[in-house]
Formats: sequence, structure tokens, C-alpha cells
Amino acid sequence: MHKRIIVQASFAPDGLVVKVADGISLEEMTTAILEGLPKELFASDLKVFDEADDEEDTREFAEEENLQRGRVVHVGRCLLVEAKIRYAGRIVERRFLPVTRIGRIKRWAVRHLGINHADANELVLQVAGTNIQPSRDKHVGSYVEGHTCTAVFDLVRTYTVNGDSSLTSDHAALLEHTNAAPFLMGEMNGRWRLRDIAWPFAFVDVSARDGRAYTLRLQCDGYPGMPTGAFWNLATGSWLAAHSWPRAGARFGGALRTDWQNGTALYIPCDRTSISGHEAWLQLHPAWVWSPTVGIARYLDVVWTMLNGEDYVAPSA
Amino acid sequence: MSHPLLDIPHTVFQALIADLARSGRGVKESGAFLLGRQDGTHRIVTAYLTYEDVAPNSSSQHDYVAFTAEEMAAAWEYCYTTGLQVVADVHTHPLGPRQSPSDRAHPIVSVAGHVALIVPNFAQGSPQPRDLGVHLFGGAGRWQSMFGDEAHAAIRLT
Repeated sequence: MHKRIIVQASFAPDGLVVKVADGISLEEMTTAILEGLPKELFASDLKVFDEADDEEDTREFAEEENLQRGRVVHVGRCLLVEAKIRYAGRIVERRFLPVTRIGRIKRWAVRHLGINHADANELVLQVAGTNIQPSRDKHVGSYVEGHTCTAVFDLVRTYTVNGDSSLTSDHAALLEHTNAAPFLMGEMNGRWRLRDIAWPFAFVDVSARDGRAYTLRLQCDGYPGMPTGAFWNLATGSWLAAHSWPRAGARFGGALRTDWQNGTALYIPCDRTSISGHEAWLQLHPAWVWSPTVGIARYLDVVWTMLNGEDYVAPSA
Repeated sequence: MSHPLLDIPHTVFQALIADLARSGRGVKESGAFLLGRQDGTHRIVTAYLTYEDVAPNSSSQHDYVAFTAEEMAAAWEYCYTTGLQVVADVHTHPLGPRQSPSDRAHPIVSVAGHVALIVPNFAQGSPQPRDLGVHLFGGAGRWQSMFGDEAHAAIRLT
């Protein structure tokens, strides 16, 4: 009869299975394990450690280990492994038997870092400099660095999320569109630049043909429904005075008219204040009609087009 | 509170807020590890490490604060090489400085006494300490939150 013994080692991170005869002595079993290793892995200085020969001092940190002699062993050169656990600039370290399980070491580290056991549920040990997160039944000796007897781990959360999901849906929709391709393309090409969002207002600088930038203040409640707004004077915190407005030629009709709504809404089909009563624009200017899919980039594109035509005229003031 | 929880040099605080505002552009959350040393319950911030720098992939993919285990390990490696500790963390919110459910459930550092700051309005408009939320982790999921005058008292600009 034979029995199977699981061997953990730094050279066999996934473990090996070695068959030995049943009923042999401990010394015979050790010899059989070493002889059972693949020849290319054998070295004369290797030692065998049985999980059942665990360290009494750390047993309080064991969790469901169910250690049994002659079932799982560790093979390695180190009699003890210096385990260092790093966490947010703190470090705790201790020498463990190489056969000590990772789960026991994590619990020891959590205690010594002052972390409440309940808060440690999401934390795992990760081998420093790698993305290896050994399961809790792996042996610390399998993770020594090179030919040293030191193993370094980072205590990390598998995935961390913080933040506020209490945004209103219209605000969230606007934020999503400011990270979508139509808006970002405009930014990357220098056509406009998001200056700020102070909900429900978005402040965007739109570039003109002569290099000037005009700040638009768009009221975006109800987004991705149409916004409404016009040019804004950041210095005074008020609508841009009529004499400071840019002008466009006949091609754009009276889109940049300052007498409309007292200069608080651009006279274009994608402005919600202006479209009211001008439904005919939907047929006359289909390219300027609001698109909930494209969103704020549509409004900005219309304004940019007006500010970059041959008939653009800068304000005299 | 008899003494402040955090000492932050004025220049570091200003640079931090400016970096958070720039990173978030008024449209997404941003954050940073606040690094320094701790003496009992007194924490002295000397530097910071933005999530944008230490977790560029996650920062570019999400409008909220997120990082992977590898990115968190990279921050710990930075601490190890510089000899600094994470004495607090900070992140922005689109609106107010109160904690969200995920903020409460997932402290950046799970050690009792850790301080989490929340900066409202994506850090736009040069917020000051009294505008922030100061949240003191008590362990086992418990937090103590401070706002307004209490937040002002908890953060001392030096």
C-alpha cells in the first residue's frame, strides 16, 4: 500500500504529490519524499518539515488547519523564514517555521498591526513585487526571495472602492458625457475645455478662431435633456455684457443675438429655452438639433462652429 | 477635541487640494494617501501620494475612487522605500463631505485611529479645512465624523 503526500516548496509553488509506502518510519518517510522529488529539483541540503510539527507559540492564530502527520510537508533549505508584512508604511516581522501556513501568518500580522479581526476579512497577503496572493493553506517557506530565507508580503485589500454614489441621475449623466468620446475629442483638439461643474451649471471655455476663449455657462438640470445658457463673465460672476459678445455673420442668422432672453440663452436649436416656439428649426437646422446621445458636445460644437467661421468677428471691447 | 488630529503644512495642503481639483477636473473623484509620521494620536503629514500617480489605470477607468491589490501594494512599496506611513487618506466627493456607504465599509487603512478626509465639490473652489469632512476610524466598522468647526479644529495647517 502507498499513500500520497503533498509537498510544498519554493520550487513547486503549486505543490507536488509524492507516493511513499504506508507504515514506514519518519526517517524512512523523509528519505522517500526527497527521493521522490523530480531529479532536477533534488539538492543535498533540502530538509523536510511536517505540518504537524507546527509552532506552539502561533497556534492561537491557526484557523481550521486540521494538521495531520504525514499528509502535507514542506521541503526547503531554510530552518526558519523571516516573514515581513508591510501595511500602509507599517511593518511587522517574525521568524516562522517554513511549514507555517499563510493563513496563520496573516492572522498573526493582523493582530500585531492593530487591525480588528472583523476589519481584516477583506485583506489578503500578497507576495511583494508580484500579484501572487497565496491561499491560506500555502506554506510561508514557498515564498522566500531567491536564495534567502526572507519572505516579504504586502497586506492588501483585493479591491478597494471609495466614493459617493449619491449623484442625481442628471448630474451623473452629464459627468458620463464629459468623459465620453465626443466631448473628449473636442477637448483634445483644443475646441473647448471644461472649466468646472458647479451643479447644475457647467462652465466650458470654447475657443474662437482668433485664439480667444469664451466661457459658456450651461444649466444642465434634467440632463441629458437640453441645457440652456450663454456666455459668462467669470470675473464678475454674471452674464457676459452684450458689448463683449462675439459676432457671427448671416450664415448663422441671429444665433449670437444679445437681445434674446437678455443674453441668458443662445438662440440656437439645441438650447432648451430657445427651441420653445421654434420647432421649425428641427427641420431647418437638423445638424444643430440636440442629441441626448451626443449630449453637451453637440451644444459646444454648434458654438465652436460659430466662433470659428470666416465671418466670426471678435468683440471690440 | 483638545488637540488637532492632523498637522499639515500649509503649502502641502494647498498643493494637495490643487492636485485633487486638477485630477478630478470637477467631473470625477480623486484622492491621495497622506504620508508622514504618527506620534500617539497625533499625525503629522509631510507628503502625499495621489491615487492618480500610484493607481493610474484605475484612476483613468472610474469616476470614483478605486484601486486594485497591485496598486495598493505599489503604495505600500512607496511607503517602504521612503520610510513614511499612511497617516490619513483623502478623496473628493461631487457634493458634500459626508461618507458614502462604500467609504464607511472600506477604510483605506483598517487600523483604528486612521483618519479619512473627504473634500466636497471635487475640491473645486479652494476648499479649506472647515469645508472638509474628517472621519476617524474606530475599528470594527465604527467611525466618528467631524464637520465645520470640528473639522477646522481637527486639521491644523502649520
